[in-house]
Amino acid sequence: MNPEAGKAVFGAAAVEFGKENLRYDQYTQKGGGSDFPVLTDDDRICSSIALSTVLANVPVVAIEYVFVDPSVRARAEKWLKSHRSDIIRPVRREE
Amino acid sequence: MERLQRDALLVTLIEHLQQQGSWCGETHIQKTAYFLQDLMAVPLGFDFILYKHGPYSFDLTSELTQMRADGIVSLLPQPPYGASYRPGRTSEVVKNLYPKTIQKYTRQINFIAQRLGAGNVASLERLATALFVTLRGKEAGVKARAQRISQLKPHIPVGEALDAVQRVDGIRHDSQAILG
Repeated sequence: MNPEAGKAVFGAAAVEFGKENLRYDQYTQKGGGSDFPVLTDDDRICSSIALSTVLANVPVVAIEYVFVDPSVRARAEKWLKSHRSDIIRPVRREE
Repeated sequence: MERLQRDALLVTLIEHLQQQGSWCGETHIQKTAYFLQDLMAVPLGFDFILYKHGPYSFDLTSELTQMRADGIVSLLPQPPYGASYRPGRTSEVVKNLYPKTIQKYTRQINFIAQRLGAGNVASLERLATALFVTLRGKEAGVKARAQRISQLKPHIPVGEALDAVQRVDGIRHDSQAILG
């Protein structure tokens, strides 16, 4: 599993199709997410996560996009299908 | 430092804190990361400000959220208290990307985990504030720094601030053996 899979796809696609035909964007939820203080009926202050298993398991939103120019879209889709596994395989960055 | 490189160090810090019996909530990570960066010169690149309960980095909070999204850490609810951070399903993947970085800073991480790992939130707040005032304040003497802490954080009595300053001076002294 590669936490920067989108970036890896963008880098490899830039080599294949040219950077001018691509755009990269990403969004990650900011802040502490669903962990916030809750004042209980008996005047204690508790963590929301300690009080709710639902909140404790809400996934954090993290999205990466790689956009391609419509002129290379068909080729890019085919290329991605056959190279995806190799591209997103985590590579050691230090030996 | 790249984001995942920094994450590899943070997850290593979490592992070392756990080994020392730390609760490992966000406050524990915030305060020990502050020591790691400002005392042990580990270039994490976070911007710490003196917030309500001592040095705090909004960037680090966002980073921990991002790490949760990537599965590098996970939150373990511990009712009736808050949640603890634990290494997540991709933590090993990220650590394997940066073996040299981890090796380079393991002594610093281990030192901080040993010295602060057993601390609770209140004591970590005092110690981190003491370090903040020591490194960034104008006051040099032990008493002057303690008074400054109590002035900045009125909920910390001067006596406890004094103890925190003395402990921080001890940690700073001992850190020289690692920093050279």
